[in-house]
Amino acid sequence: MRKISTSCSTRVAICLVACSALASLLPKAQAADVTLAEKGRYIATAADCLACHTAPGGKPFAGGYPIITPVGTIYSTNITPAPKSGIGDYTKTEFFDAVRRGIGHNGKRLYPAMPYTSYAAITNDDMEALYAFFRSEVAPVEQENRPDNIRFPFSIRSGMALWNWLYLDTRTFQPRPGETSQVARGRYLVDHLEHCGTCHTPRTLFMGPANGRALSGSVVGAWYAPNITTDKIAGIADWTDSDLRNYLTSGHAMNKGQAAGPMAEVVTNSTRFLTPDDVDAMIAYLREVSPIASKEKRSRTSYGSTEPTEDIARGQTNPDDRGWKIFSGSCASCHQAQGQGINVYPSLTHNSATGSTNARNLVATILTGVERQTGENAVFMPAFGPGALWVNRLSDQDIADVSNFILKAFGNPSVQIDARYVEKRRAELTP
Amino acid sequence: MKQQSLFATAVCQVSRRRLLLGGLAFGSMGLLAPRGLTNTPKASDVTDFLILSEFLTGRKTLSVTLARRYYLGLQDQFPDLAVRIANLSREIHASGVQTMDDYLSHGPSPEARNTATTIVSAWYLGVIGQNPKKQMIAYSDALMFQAVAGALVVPSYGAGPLAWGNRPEPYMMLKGVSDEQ
Ligand code: HEC
Ligand code: HEC
Ligand code: HEC
Repeated sequence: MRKISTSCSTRVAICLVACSALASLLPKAQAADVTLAEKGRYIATAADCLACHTAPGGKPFAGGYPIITPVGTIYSTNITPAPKSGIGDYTKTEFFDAVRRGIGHNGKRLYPAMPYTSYAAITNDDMEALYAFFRSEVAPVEQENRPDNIRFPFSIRSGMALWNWLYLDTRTFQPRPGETSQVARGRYLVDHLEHCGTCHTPRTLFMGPANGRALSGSVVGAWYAPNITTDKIAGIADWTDSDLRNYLTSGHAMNKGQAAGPMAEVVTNSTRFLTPDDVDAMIAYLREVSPIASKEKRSRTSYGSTEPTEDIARGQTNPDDRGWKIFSGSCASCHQAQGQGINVYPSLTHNSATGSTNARNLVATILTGVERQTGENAVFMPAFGPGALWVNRLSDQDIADVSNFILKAFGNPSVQIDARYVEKRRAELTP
Repeated sequence: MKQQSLFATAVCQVSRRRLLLGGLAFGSMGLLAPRGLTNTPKASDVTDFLILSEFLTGRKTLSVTLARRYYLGLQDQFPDLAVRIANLSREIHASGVQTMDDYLSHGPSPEARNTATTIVSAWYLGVIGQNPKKQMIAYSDALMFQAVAGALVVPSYGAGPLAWGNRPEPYMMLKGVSDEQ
């Protein structure tokens, strides 16, 4: 994943330079095509088509990325212009219908794991550009699609017609009366191109987005995409504009949060490439989203250290807290002895992963580590789950103990977990 | 007597640090102007021990938790700790000095110097007493690491991949002492 995104980002950069240089040499018509395709590249980046349509370690856009849903695993498809296994023979209309209506070849209904309900509002101009990009800039790769294993009744694709009737709004984007152009642009990005709601908006029983609860937080596999509405406690009202800018462009907001798991992919593949104006537009819109409260009494970034755990336990022949020992051995070298963090290593106090009302992001981070590409640098925290070096691996009990210690000492002490909880998260991370 | 020589080693270590750090450890204590000791002649409990420790180390924000643990640990190893602390405090008080530097130049009695060294080396090394009763109390929060925290990372802890850089210019050069390379 990392390799792809690196090469992709360099390609974006090189192309942006090379193409703009080329454009001045080419005859007018061709230059227009190139610009259109380049615009399409930016839209594909903002819409993060790469993240879902590239398997870990696979060829860009050749599909095979597993999307784990509560009803089974869906594999994304090959959207390179390869004629046999890709979308090389799609007409423009077919392409538009797939992206905005969820209708594939021969009228096959796509599962909403492809976020066409968000994309439905993409403007015609942007669709033209996207099409030009996929025709001319993406390398064709013949690679057969993997069958999904969706369970009945969701396995019946025709059922999607009803689903679409419930959840698909086919109108293209229009600014709302009274909305500034910046907020409108932000709404277009957040709600449509970037489809932030596919993760951050809770789902109904039918797996449709819960209207009226937009961006108020949702489970995403083993992870939790937090409430990013303007609510003072449950949301991100306490994040400053520069916190949000840092988070979206680098994945790291000091004393607020870091992007791991799915959000790390969003930052790595998409938001960090947006223009500063587009990032500011998203922030402006996020400030306008209706606040949605939930039961917690304190904001998740407000928890500080409660006691000097290191001073209490170091050197004791038998510290009662097993979690402290694991923390000291596996985590303190980076997050520091009192969880205070240093330089690039974030503090575990005032951290949304440890102050949340659930321990999902804490446990999933321990299991998978953190990998993110930001500008020149890669952000890396080792995994302690099944993918870890053998000597680093922690058991379910170890992870429960160290999490409970961290929650009590640095985070939200009212959240405590057991080994079963970790076992379930582990299972959710395995396709 | 063995005890005596160990204290001597500790004094040596402390004074070597003092040289190495260009007076950061002891020399600058005066600048930090610790809370005066004038109204705290009694050092029989943890709070008094903490205040005495802050005077001796020239630091204002020592951990109460660590003070309690050092105090209890030292008491375990030196049954006459309370008396020794009382004597030391009395001597400091009587001398009328405001800082540790002044106290040292004032010429403390060997016993008081001994007690002061025991306490200061505990805070600096994070370890109290001697074999076989040597006891570890603190590691990363031992003052020897805290004194240089801005520049050096506690061994086995990390400051992050971006923290690696060129070797800094020596902070100060000692005449006749060659660079350790
Ligand atoms: C959140 C993950 C996700 C994102 C983001 C995403 N897709 Fe998809 N896409 C899928 C999945 C999963 C399928 C397969 C759905 C199915 O099998 O029903 C799919 C199917 C498709 C298809 C239909 C292919 C066929 O075989 O008929 C096209 C075309 C497509 N995507 C294009 C895009 C484009 C263009 C973008 C970016 C604008 C994009 N996708 C972004 C997950 C995603
Ligand atoms: C693929 C799913 C997914 C998508 C798409 C997504 N997010 Fe996230 N987001 C997450 C997850 C999971 C987290 C928690 C990450 C962590 O703590 O490591 C998160 C965290 C965040 C946070 C930090 C909240 C906190 O309290 O830590 C912000 C802000 C955020 N996302 C904004 C956005 C925006 C804006 C978009 C659209 C550009 C977006 N997200 C798209 C899954 C997603
Ligand atoms: C080798 C250094 C290193 C070690 C060891 C380490 N981490 Fe991390 N940790 C990081 C880095 C780097 C980040 C991400 C910083 C960023 O995103 O900018 C991070 C992020 C985190 C986060 C925030 C993630 C989120 O989703 O918000 C948590 C929680 C965390 N680590 C917990 C732990 C725990 C628990 C351990 C021990 C089991 C541990 N870390 C061990 C380096 C480390």
